[in-house]
Amino acid sequence: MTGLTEQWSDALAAAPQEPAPAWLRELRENAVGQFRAAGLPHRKVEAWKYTPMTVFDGLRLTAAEPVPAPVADLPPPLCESSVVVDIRDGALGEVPADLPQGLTVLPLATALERFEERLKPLFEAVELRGATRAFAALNTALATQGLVVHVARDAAGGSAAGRLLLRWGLSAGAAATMGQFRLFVLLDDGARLELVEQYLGSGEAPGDGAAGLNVLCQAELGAGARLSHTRVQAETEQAVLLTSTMLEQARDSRFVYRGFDLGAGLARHELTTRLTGPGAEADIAGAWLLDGRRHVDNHVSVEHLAPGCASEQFFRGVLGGRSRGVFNGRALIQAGADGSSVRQSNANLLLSPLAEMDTKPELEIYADEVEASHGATVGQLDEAAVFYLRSRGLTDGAARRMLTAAFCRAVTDRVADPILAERIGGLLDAAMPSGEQL
Amino acid sequence: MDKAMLKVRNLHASVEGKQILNGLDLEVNAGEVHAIMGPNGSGKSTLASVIAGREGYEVTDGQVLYRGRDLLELEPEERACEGIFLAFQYPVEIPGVNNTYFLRAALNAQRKYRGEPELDSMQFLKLIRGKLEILHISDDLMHRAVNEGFSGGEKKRNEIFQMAVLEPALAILDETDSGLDIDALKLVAEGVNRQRSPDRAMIVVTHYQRLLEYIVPDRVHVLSGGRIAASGDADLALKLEEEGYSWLAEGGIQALEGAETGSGGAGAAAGA
Amino acid sequence: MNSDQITVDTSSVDRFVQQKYKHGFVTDIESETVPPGLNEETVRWISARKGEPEWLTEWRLQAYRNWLTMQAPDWAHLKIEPIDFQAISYFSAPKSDKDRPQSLDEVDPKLLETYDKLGVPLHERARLAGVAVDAVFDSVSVGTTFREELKKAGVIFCSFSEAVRDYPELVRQHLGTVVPPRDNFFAALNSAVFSDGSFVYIPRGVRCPMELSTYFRINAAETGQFERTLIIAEDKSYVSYLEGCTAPMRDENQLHAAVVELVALEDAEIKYSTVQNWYPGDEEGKGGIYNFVTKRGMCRGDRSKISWTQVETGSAITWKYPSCVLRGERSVGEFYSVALTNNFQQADTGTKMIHIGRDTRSKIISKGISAGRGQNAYRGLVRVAKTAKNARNFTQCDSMLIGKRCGAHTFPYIEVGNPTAKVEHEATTSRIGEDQLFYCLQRGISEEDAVSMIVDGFCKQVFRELPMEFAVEAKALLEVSLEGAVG
Repeated sequence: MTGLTEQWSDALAAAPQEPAPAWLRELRENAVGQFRAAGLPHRKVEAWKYTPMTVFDGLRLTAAEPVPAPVADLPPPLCESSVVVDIRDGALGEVPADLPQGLTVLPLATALERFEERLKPLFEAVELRGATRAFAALNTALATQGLVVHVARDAAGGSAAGRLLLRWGLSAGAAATMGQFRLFVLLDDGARLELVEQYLGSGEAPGDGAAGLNVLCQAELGAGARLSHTRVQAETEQAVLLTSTMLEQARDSRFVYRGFDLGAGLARHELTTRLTGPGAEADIAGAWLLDGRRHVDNHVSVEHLAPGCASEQFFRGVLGGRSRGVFNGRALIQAGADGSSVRQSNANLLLSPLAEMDTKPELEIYADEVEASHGATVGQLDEAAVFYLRSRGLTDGAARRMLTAAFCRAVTDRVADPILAERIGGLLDAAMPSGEQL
Repeated sequence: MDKAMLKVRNLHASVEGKQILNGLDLEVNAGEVHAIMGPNGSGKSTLASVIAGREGYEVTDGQVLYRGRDLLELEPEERACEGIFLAFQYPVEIPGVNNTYFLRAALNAQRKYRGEPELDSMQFLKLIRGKLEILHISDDLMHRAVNEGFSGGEKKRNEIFQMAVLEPALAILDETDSGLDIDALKLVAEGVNRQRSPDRAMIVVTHYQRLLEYIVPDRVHVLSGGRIAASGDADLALKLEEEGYSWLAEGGIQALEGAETGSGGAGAAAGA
Repeated sequence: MNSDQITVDTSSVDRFVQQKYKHGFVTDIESETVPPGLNEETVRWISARKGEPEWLTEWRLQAYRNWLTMQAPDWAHLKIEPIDFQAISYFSAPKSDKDRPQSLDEVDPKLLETYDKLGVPLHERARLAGVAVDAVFDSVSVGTTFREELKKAGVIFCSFSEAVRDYPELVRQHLGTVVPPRDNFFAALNSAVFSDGSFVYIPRGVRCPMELSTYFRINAAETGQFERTLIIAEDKSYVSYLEGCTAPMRDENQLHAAVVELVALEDAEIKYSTVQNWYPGDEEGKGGIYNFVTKRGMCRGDRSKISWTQVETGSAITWKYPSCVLRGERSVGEFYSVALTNNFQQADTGTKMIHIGRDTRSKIISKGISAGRGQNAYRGLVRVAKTAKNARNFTQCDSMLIGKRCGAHTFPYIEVGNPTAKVEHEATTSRIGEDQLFYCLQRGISEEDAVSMIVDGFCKQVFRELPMEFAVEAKALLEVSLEGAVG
């Protein structure tokens, strides 16, 4: 057992139990043991091969106190939204009471009783799944902060007016801590939700040291449900963000994910969706633009467990400075999942001699009536295109910036809301790494 | 001031170590349209690429003067801003870059170079509207990425349209006719002809005489073995059509009556 | 010098003979097969039995000690019953004798007969095709032809044991430099107990006058086969090496852990082709060879080139990643592979292309075919080091599924640390299209022929890389291996 595993295990054991239903208290106690048994991952663990674990050194485990964040501290909302929930330093802010018809948003503690039937199996299931048992166990043991979002049958929680925005921020209050947060998204049959998450820092940076956050999100999509999930992350370089999103998708449900990583010292995102009902679809796209010493790990896994499902993974990366990008995309087609269609694509531009990109698009296929393709590239801008632009009068630098922006636009173009797409495009332009910088 | 817009003297150029141009001479004046013809591999496209400054084309000897300046010293974008336009034989597809956005960026870069105010998108749209109609370019095409998914004809029309917007002083049309059916060819030729003016020179590079029926050149040059083998007026193109290029290989230049023959590397090819 | 070497050998045997009593080791040094099990004594016994110099015995022992500290890899997409390494016999010589036959005429006629049954009329075929054949029957080389002709060109082509005896300096200089003894679990095991194999040396400026070919076969029951091959191509030399494997039916699983090391110096080119058809087990998944191979080539010199071509149709388990370390500037690595799994076969195979030198190029074409309950995984690594300016890789990795119970998997690792590098990976997974099949059937082609035609087309890019007669054999193997896969 490594020093940090031991240190955190002791901290877990010593942490006071928050009041909770008996079943949850028991799960939390078990999770302490599970964490100790699993231990923190390391480079020999395949899925953590490229992740620098040293960034966790010096982070303390804490249970964040619910301190409503002064709204002024956080950057303005990225988009128009009727419901905004702030989560500052891992602590849930005020949850609005006036919500559109069919939409319920409650702090975890309040929701436990009302949604016990739904939440208990989810709490239990998480221990059985996921490559990163240690961090999941940690979250279960400590995450008293959390949010439950429920959209009732056929309700449109995510119509243009009813968009839910989660506004995250890490400030000085989070320095040297590893906060835990749990999120549940429950969509009944035919329900719709548009969820936008922004991690755009807060007014004050967490100081010199690292500030960590471990967010575990579990989502259930009922038959025909639609979840659109957009996540924009441009935290400061002090931020250490671990997010794990686990979905279950029933028949004909549709999940659309758009993720953008522009910041954080370490951002690691694990996204797993299980297409359990026929006709379910997962449309997953993302981009990272990295500079400095940033490290972004994206691990996406789509499991086709029923016939006639379709999924796409589409990711683009631009790496400058000394940054490092990791993409591990996996698509599994289980026996019997005939008529499945899988597309996977990851293209990267490497701009700096000190940057590195590691990509691994995996296919695991056990059914023959399938269409599957994947591709991955790491390279530079097309010099023929650069010349074409220069022959029309653009400078070399302008031509390259234009082409790099166009390279990323392949992802922003997939953001359905044009206003949101434009704002994200603006953030991307501002984050454009330079090739020369060392 | 020298009235020659472009002076190419004893140009030698190689690609990947292979010598393509072997002492080419050419003079083009403002207001003139020159056709450069020749068999495949004679160096037509190399000449176009050298003038535009494409990477990988090494000039080993000779010079290219444009409006009295040494053109070879300039970066490709400086040449563009100085008024040189190349209509590409194979226009490049640039996924993700919107066609309108691209063209405005190019025009503004050139305007800025010339010290003119840049155009905002409203002004720009106004500017291009009329030019779109001439070339039968639909709005739809303008909203798509540069050349992406365009048909062969659409790509070539898009090149001529860009030329109309950028208003170059010297336009080089590299095999603009290749891959076009007769209707598309006429459209393109009409677009080009509208842009002929006393201030503008054009070099039309083509393998076939067909295009020259619609864009009638002032001068025709035949390129062979990397230099101008013969020059003449528009009739030379017709003769070529009848006799083909095979006479070049046989050295039977005299067979073409009325053609001024090039004489080795030193001969002045262009008239005037 | 050779006699000195032999003297050393004898003395080490003597020493060993005395030692073995001390440790209660009972097997007679003259025996044909050691009893199952592996310990330092076994390693010493093998080395002594082969009359090896002391440095090699020590090298083996060091490898053995490393092996003890290592774990069998578990990352491959393979389901394997744990292997009891103490239940395996690590050396077996053919019945003939301790004195190897000096020419084909001296070869046990029964051995030659076995080759005939396998469709490899050794000398005739060798002469007709102009191929020198170094046949390995179980663990000891039994015949080498065309050696004289090769000798004239200065090419050394002999068994590994002979090379140890006759060219100890060459062996010592290169052995383990490409695949270090502790590279991985199976390489360490091989380094400790390797039985025999081939040695090839192409001198500077020499283009090997013929294709060198070795047919490996496993014959004795429950005998592990641990081949060791070393090929050295000096500056400006060229060699094409063919390795073919067929194996008779066996009931018990057999372990095969070979190591192949290639060294290409400046402007040298090595082409290494393999057709692997070890016994795959029966239709119930019983028996079959466990094939754990470490093959690696080092492009040490500038502008050197190493090209691997493999057709893998056999073995119950295939674990194999012929790789290239592209150290020399402008060196080139290639990997062309067809892997077929039918019935209960499992394959986890691919390549590693490690770009270190500038302007290095690599190309990977992999075709996986899964039928029956076969599991077929491509696993590849393309790594571009910071130093590898302008490195280029292109990978195409296609899978075909035939039937509903098989699996096709792709695990490509791409690690790029240089901004001037271009790495492209493409992959598709498909099945034999019903429209394709119907079109063939409608023209009067039987379903089986249609399938083999389509599969052959699918594999064309790889077959093209094989020497002609190998290509024919590979195609035939594919057809045989696919029997019963459709319908």
